[in-house]
Amino acid sequence: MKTLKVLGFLLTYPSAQQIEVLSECREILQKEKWISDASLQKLNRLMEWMEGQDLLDLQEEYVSLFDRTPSLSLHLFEHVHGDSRERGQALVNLTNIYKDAGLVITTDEMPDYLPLFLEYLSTVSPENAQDNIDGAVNIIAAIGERLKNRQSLYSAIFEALCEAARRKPDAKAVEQALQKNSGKAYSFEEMDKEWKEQFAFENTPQTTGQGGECPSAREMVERMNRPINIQGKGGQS
Amino acid sequence: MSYFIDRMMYFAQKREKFSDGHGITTEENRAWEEAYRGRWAHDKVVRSTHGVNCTGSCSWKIYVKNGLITWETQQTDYPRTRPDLPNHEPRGCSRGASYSWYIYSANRLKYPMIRKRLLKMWRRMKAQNGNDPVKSWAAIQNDPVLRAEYQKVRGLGGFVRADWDEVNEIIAAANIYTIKKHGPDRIIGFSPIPAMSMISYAAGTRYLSLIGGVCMSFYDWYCDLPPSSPQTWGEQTDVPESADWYNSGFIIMWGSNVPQTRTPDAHFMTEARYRGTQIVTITPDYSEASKFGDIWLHPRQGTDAALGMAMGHVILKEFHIDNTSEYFDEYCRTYTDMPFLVKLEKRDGRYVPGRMVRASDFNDSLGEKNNSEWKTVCIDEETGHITVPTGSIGFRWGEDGKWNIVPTDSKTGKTIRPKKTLLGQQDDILSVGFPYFGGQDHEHGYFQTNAQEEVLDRNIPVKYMNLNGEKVPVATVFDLLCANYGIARAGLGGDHVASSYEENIPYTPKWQESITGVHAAQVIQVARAFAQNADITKGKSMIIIGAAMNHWYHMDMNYRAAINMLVFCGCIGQSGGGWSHYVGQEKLRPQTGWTPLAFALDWTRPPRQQNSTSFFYAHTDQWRYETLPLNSILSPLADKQRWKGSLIDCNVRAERMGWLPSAPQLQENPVELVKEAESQGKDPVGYVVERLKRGDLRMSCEDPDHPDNWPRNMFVWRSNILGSSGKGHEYFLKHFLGTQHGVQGKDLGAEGKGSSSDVVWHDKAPEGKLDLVVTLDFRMSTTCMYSDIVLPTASWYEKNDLNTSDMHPFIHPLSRAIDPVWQSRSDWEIYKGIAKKFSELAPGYLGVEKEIVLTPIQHDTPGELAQPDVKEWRKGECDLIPGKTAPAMKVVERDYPATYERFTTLGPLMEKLGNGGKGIGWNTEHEVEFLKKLNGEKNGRARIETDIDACEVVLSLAPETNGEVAVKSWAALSKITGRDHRHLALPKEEEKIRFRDIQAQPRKIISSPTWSGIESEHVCYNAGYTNVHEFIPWRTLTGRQQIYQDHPWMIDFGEGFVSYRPPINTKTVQHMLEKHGDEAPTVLLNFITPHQKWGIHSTYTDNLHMLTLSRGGPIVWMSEVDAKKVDIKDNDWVEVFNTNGAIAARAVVSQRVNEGMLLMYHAQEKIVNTPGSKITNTRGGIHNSVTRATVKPTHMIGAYAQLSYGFNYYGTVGSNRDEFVIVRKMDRVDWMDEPAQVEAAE
Repeated sequence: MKTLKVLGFLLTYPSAQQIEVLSECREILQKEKWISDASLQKLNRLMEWMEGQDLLDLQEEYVSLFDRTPSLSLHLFEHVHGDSRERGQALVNLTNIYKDAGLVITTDEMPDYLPLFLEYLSTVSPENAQDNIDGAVNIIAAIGERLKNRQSLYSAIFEALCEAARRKPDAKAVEQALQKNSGKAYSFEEMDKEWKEQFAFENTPQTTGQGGECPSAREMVERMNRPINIQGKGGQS
Repeated sequence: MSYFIDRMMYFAQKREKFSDGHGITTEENRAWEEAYRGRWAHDKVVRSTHGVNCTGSCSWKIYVKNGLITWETQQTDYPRTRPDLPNHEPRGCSRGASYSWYIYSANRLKYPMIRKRLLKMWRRMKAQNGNDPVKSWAAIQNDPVLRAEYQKVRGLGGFVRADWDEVNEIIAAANIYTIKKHGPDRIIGFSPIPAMSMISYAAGTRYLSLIGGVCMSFYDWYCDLPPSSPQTWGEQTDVPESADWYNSGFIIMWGSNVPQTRTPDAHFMTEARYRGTQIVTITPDYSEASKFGDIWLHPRQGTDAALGMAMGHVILKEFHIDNTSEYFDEYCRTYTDMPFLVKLEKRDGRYVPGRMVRASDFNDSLGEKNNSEWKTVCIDEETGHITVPTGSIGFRWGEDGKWNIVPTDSKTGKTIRPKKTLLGQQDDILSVGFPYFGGQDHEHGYFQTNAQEEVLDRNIPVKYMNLNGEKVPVATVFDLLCANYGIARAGLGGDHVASSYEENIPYTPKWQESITGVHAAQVIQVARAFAQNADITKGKSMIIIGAAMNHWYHMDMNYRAAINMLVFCGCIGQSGGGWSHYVGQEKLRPQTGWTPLAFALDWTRPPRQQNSTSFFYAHTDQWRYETLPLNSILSPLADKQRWKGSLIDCNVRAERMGWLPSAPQLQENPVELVKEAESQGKDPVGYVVERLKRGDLRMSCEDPDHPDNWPRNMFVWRSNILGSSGKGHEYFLKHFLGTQHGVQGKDLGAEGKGSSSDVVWHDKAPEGKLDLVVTLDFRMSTTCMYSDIVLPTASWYEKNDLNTSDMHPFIHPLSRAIDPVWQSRSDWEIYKGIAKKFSELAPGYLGVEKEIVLTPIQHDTPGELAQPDVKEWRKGECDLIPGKTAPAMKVVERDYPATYERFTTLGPLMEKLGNGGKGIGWNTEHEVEFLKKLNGEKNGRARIETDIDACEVVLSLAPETNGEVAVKSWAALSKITGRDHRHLALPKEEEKIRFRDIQAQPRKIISSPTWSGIESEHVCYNAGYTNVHEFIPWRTLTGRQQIYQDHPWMIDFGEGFVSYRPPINTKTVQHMLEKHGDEAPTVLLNFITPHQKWGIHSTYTDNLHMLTLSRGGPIVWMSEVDAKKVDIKDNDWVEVFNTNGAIAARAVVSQRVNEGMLLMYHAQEKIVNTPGSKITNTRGGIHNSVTRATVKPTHMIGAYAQLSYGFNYYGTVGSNRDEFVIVRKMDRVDWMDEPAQVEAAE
């Protein structure tokens, strides 16, 4: 399914070559008809806009969106694992999936780079591809919404991908992602929330509003003070 | 029937249940375990470390799976220490453990980036200029509109990706154009702390040095260089390794937050406490280190010198005068300048301590023919004769065998016993004046004073001597020192000395109470215990001292007060004792192997090296806003008429006299100057001298704002200068970069105070001096945001490099666990690429060119004896003699098209001139031959193609990693000292450490004369060890620890002896109070910037783990009392401002902080959660937005023994803690998320 490849291609760093073959992209999208007319229209608008831009301006826009804004990162695991240690392992797993399909990454890109991922999906069966998109649909939807909030035409690509999925995005999950970062400027309340210091433990006096000593310590002391049942039934010694 | 056959012998039936039914065997597929088992599996573990800005130098295991980095853990295979000494491991902290985050982070720089506006005009200009890159760059620079168009948007986004070829072409073209048009010394590069990744540092400086560019210092600029160390020891900084804490009996942790800023070493502190070491912590706030202390003293910040003076008073009185400690007495006679004689000079009718007596002052120079002006004199107690002991600096140069400090008479070779005091045998008792500063009022009244007379006259026992035909009273340093500390001595009488600690006389424990707030009894207790321990253990008392005390304008007083305590108690050079300043420099252990590579000494000498503080003070125009008048810091005993002008004028004088370096150097292109001279058939040096004398050629420093004198291209690598260390951040933005800034104050011209005497004043200051700013980094730092070109560099797990520290004695590597990700490249490859492009583009513009290079008069060379007196050629006081009364001048030939060739091979000067350092030289032919075989040859020279090749060059040439060289270097030193030191390295002669060795395990280095400690199986590394135990002189005037500073500038600025000097008045608040004081309630606070817990400088502060552990963005700490005054609650947004600029941050209201103090951790990134400031109408700044560098004249002194210039060794330092700020609550937080509105240049 070349449509997926095209969608990924539209998300790569703008180049003169990319602009040249946009007409070819249009044809493929038209021919395969994997996406709805409404989405197709939006994608056409994106491509027209790309063609009309000065290349350097286009590149600047791209850098400021995708290179410089973590919440719009095209590296999927940025949205799944963020800065956690799991990210390295997840990348390893993804590489293995490609390897199982007989594909080896030949560029300096990471395995979770969306255009690369879409290229892979374009080589597998449509069902398999859909399954895979299903897995990432919440992330894709969230990025799309953020782009929409920024009035970026790039959002069309993400809408098309959501459409291609069988599973619809989980509205609640997307809502949550957007609450974390809407792509718009933070409100003061949002910012305050981001800054709020986390309590190390739940149910501490500070969070419950009760006075008194540390509950975990209290519990421990209570445990220690409990008389030990020497003739306990489970006792083996 | 037997059941024997039915029973199985070798098998058991599979049972469904076991252990009384608690266990169960199941049959299902267990493939799910794979993920669990595989989670901690890996393909390989690679040794690396974190390599720029952390002293820890911890070795780490980097786990790699399928070519991807998955995590890191601490290495645990350091070589074991000897029995009864704890091992080093584990080393590493939460910051290091979160580093792998950077590798794949969204914050990672993945591609070369360039400012779109610049790229656009570049492509247009190339089309218009027949694709000629140099012409295209010229076209942009010659059009002020074009130039301003991209300068004005620096810091405002607008990057596009570019490919390596294109950015290299732009950089090379800019460099070529700059050299051709302005001169190579208009290209500068800033990179700090080479020890942490030596090759990466060397990559940039090698390129710069080959083309004639300028390498900028960092240690002094960071204000981590304690000038007190070169002043006292002639040594930049040398310290005990952290393991030596364990050997100590008494440790004062003074302004050093060990658990927070020396995390991997802190375990030695805990272990020392278990062993019974007594700990005293001195910090103004209740810091993380306070809990270590058996006693916690908390003087008001910035007043530590007062506390130190009082402790010194107690030690001198109790252990040198009332009950003389035999150990202290012997130590001070042998290893300090205390017995040496000082002339008392008449000034305004009273005697003051003057110059140290020299052999040349006597009729026949006491028989000394060589350098008699630089040989100091004392009295032999045994014979009563005046004697010239060996080891003073005059013996270091021009003769062999007598530069050692075994107490010996130079003429007779007989052992002497230097006499410390003249008391009892004096010819006379004279009243001598000492300046007193402790009564100077502070502008905000925050710092308390103790009013006394401005000059304190105290009685001194003297002898009269016939010097230069005059009868002159002389005294010993020791007698003057006791008077300086205000100690009453039997038989002397006189005023201003105390016989009881309860008298309010400088510098008694009682006297300091009103200044520091510390109770006198505690001072006495601590000082006494400190000295007692040292007396019993022969010097095992230690002071761990933090930069906190070095960041004040009068830092030398804080430090010298503490150093004196150690010297009085014989702690320097003794294991378990000494001065532990672990700040900023880090120890580049294989230094002499590295300098040839780093500064291309194998191809051309000398390199251009510049002290950054003076440079940035001049070129970011901070001098134009100076508020500190010279006369406010002069000694009351100085002749004020002799000190006209302002601070920058002192710096200019220093540059002209060859004391400090200059960059740019001359107002004309040094390449053109040589051409002109040669076309007239003149010697270029003579030609330049002639024109300088005539005045039709000037040094650039005299007019830093003239376009001919601007720096033009700047490289930044391994550094976040704009986000971290740039004191006077907003001045950088305004004048250096020419972009949006928050400078609030008017310059002196606007205030009608342009009072410079030696510098040309322009009414309109330039904005945007730099044509091109190039930054190499792995993350989008604040500096990257302000750059024109950003190059993605390999992270610390993606390159091969070397790493050493002063905290432990090992050398270990950074290793390439994975290839550099995306399009990043190692620093070595990046500069190699630029060098290649530069060489390609040079022909037609630059060929083999000669140029004239100016260098200051250097420490550790015979030049350090150049100027026994201060005389200025510019004022006609002497002739201009390069290298003697002015900077040295040398014509250097550069083969520009061969730059790449030279970059990648080891040049011929190694065989021709040899190698060396710190005044010692040796032949290095054998090592060069060896390298040819090891690295392979290219054009008959040893190849330096890869970063590993470069590592091998360092390791082979350095005595610390090549035993054979170590023996050669000790032999070279032995010749000068006349004592055989080779035994320190002979057992290791065959040991040669190579890169693969250190990848296998960290390796202990070999003892070398570059350092004053030794590596041995018996003692820990401790500074000054070879001075004390091998009698190698300190590299000072007397060859001993120099307590008295007799340079005329030192005396005029009141720092001949240590004293207490209160923080200066920066005058940055009044103007702003007038302007904004009515808008909201405000409070005035002293602004201090200690190192933090959630980052190493700015690194890691943008890392989500660390942001989560702190509060996720810029914060300032204030006391509950101050917060209440202006209704600030914890976590409120506050604005912090003064005339230098403004900061927007959250308040942390804490009991930890003292009233009157605002604490902002050093270097929190501007790129994370920083809202706008109402004061500046731009985004809130970094901690340096409210600071401005203020230079100090005593740091400009040169050509005078230990007070001679060395790169990162001596020079002005960027102090910043005397600053005050206004704090107020922010009523509205503006995140400034709208696209930047920038007017294109008209």
